Amino acid sequence: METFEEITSFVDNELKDHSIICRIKSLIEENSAIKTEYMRQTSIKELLKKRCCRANAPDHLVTNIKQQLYCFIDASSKNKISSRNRN
Amino acid sequence: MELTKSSASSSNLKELYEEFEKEAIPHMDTLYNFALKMTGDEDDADDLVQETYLKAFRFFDKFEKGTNCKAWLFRIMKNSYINDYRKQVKEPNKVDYEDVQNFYENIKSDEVESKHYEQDVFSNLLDDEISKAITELPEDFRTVIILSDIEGFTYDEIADFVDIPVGTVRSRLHRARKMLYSQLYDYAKEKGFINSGNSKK
Repeated sequence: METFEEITSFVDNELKDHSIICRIKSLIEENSAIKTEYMRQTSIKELLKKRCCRANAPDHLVTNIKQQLYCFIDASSKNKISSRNRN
Repeated sequence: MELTKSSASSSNLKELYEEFEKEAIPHMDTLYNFALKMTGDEDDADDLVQETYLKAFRFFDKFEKGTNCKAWLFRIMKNSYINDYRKQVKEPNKVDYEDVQNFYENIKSDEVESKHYEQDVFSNLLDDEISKAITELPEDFRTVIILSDIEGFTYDEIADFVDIPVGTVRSRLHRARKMLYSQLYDYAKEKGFINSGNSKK
């Protein structure tokens, strides 16, 4: 894995191997290019987390979807009854 | 979208719906948020979520109980997005990764460090500018950045949702953050939040 991609895993807390985590930490402290990469990735991650609000599904959408499903189930029941009556 | 489950009896359908309501409906907020970030439009997000849920109900008898329902719904949504939505929509201007690569490598590190990054530079950007930068990412990159940095999913979960290897998730995230950084840096510079004298080598 390329070092910069290891930084990505480090930023996302996805590294499991303790020795790799230690190596990345010391690289961030000692190497300015790695430190810059780490700070850039962290800044973007933090920015999105703070500023991109999660939107909930609007009530009308939830209602609309449920209504379509109810209507379909209801229509299926009626069809079944009418086909029984015909027979 | 027309639902067709003519072979199922109405009592079976009711049972299926009860199960569907328990398993699938609770994930609607997450799917809506993803749809909104992917399409950048509330009406399109509504349509995409509706299409996804109607399709999901249609095929819910094929869903394996005990497996990850959210991942299953995401895969349906992704297919709907690719097959139905994307065909109708003209793609906005996309970021070219090669251009970004050069730009990103050439931003001086010392100048950005001294600015404390987002506190002093990016925090002045409007939410709309941040959303626009996300929307302009190529689709594969936009998908992983939304799922990771906004939704907070792990690499394993994203790999499952998008059906790609974990290594590809990591690599796309790395590149997506690079592209976003460059885009946002441009906006910040345009707005005068970054000194023009110390922007590039």
